[in-house]
Amino acid sequence: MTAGSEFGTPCGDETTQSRLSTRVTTRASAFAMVSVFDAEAAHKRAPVAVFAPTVALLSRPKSPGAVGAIFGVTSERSEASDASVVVVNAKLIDDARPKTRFVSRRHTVTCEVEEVIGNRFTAIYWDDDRGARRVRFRVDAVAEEDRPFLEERAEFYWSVGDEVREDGRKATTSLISFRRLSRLESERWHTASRRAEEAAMDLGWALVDCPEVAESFNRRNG
Amino acid sequence: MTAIEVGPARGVDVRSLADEDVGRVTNEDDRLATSPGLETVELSLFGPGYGECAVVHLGLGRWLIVDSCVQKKRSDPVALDYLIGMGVDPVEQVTHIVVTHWDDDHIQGSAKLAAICKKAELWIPEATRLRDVAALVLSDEIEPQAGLKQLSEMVRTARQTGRRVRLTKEEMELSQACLRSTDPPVSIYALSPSDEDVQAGFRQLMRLIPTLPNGRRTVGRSRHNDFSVVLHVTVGNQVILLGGDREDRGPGRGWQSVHVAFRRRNLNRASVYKVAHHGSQTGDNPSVWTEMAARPLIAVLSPFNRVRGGLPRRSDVQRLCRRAEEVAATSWVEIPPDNVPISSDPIMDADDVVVGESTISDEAAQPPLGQVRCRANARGGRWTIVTMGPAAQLC
Repeated sequence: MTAGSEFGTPCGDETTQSRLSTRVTTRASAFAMVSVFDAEAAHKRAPVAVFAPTVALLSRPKSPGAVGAIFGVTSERSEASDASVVVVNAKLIDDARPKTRFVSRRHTVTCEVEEVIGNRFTAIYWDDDRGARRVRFRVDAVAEEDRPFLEERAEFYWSVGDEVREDGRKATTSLISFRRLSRLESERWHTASRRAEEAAMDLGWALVDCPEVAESFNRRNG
Repeated sequence: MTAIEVGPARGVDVRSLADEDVGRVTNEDDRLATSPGLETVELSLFGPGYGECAVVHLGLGRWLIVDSCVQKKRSDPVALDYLIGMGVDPVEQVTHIVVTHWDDDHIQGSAKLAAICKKAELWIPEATRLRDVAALVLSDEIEPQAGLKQLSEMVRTARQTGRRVRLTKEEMELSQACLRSTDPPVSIYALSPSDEDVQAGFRQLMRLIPTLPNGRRTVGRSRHNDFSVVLHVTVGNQVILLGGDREDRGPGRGWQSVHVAFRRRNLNRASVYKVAHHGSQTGDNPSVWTEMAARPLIAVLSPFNRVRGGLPRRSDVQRLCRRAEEVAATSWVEIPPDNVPISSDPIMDADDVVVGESTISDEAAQPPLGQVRCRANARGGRWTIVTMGPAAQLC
């Protein structure tokens, strides 16, 4: 049985990675009301299906109003209650609007910052044909919030590729990516910390803060 | 660049298999495909592919997997391909899976490995219980990136199936009594990280999580070798030391703390050593060779192919060949010199780069996967080395 056949939505079969967007509209314990949007027409904000509160999320329900994307929908019938349960794995995404998509394979190399001078910096990357090569960037090519990472010997990924914009125009892009989390509100970080505490209890772990590691070390070493 | 000229392995059975054949040998006559005997100890090291993975036969058909890697453009862990190719049942026969640390090149495919090897004990680095790391790995609130994502998936899989996930730190024994009491007896000890390693690694990690003015936090690039686990594995009379990505640090840290743990536990010297940190100078410490290694010693390593030509360097290979009787690497295609010369081509300006021109090569051009396999009788005797794919003995 597939989620699609049960709910009459284009969710695909159990092995298909569907690309439907979800909006959590209510939240109760481990269950959530999830509206499903067609990702291609997400800007219309019209749900193509609404799952009942029996929908269980593998990951915890997000805050009401959050917009996510379903990465794989499966469905199974519970023998005990004969009720259908749809198991979805939802991830938060920033926005459900159509994204700019890359139409050609992007070329990505790992670069190491060599030197930062004024508003320029040089980096070294490895070219299998030509060996180590030096390339010069503008500092303002690095996102403002990434600039703290811009120091000698720091590594980043440099991707160059073609993209097609929403209006059909094509452009060449150069993307500098330092490994980091996306923007995060402090409140969300605290929520993550609280949930990690709960999960750690399940696992029988006691979470520690760095000072406690230090204390433990000091105790062991007298 | 000139590669070091390396001939075929000395005095051993060397067969070159195509890249895709590694771990997938189907010819029953090919003895590379045969599983080891019940009393045979084996260390197989895979790499670089996308990272490094060590598979150890603990005797009696039991297997330990340390770290995980995948082949280019594939998601199946190399260890599974290899074991299944030999007729090993990963569900029943893999007893331990150990993640030494969560750098990309050591953890790819580990979540799948844990999901399939359902009866294996799962051991991950102690540093995972640091609150800020746990927030990334355990919460499902924030999507971690790269290696932490694999770790997160691994833990989630374990929780969903009610399995325990244990935390590894120095002087912890990973083997249960039932392993110790078999013939051949088995013991597995973690010799790192120390509390001070974890603390130092955490400080570095936090330094890379700047709190931005409006309360946002970002995680930058970080190396997690301070958290890396070193394992000491004894099967019968044979000892293997698995160095992870351990690097030499100050007092109480790095290899110095490993040496202290080794002495405290009164452990036997190893006759096979998986060289730490891809053979780099920073991964080296004299105590490894003089205090923890037996003679003759076999050293095996996997190269690391990244910026500036990767590791090991030419001087690293020369150093290793002075310190061990035999050194084998999972790939020997290019051993870069110590000081990689920057191309004399005119410096490129990133603004001038145009897609389609050959100014940027694709990083997907990774070296193919190789395997170094060392086997010996658990009761004693010499080890036999076999190299497959691009793997070779360096000396």
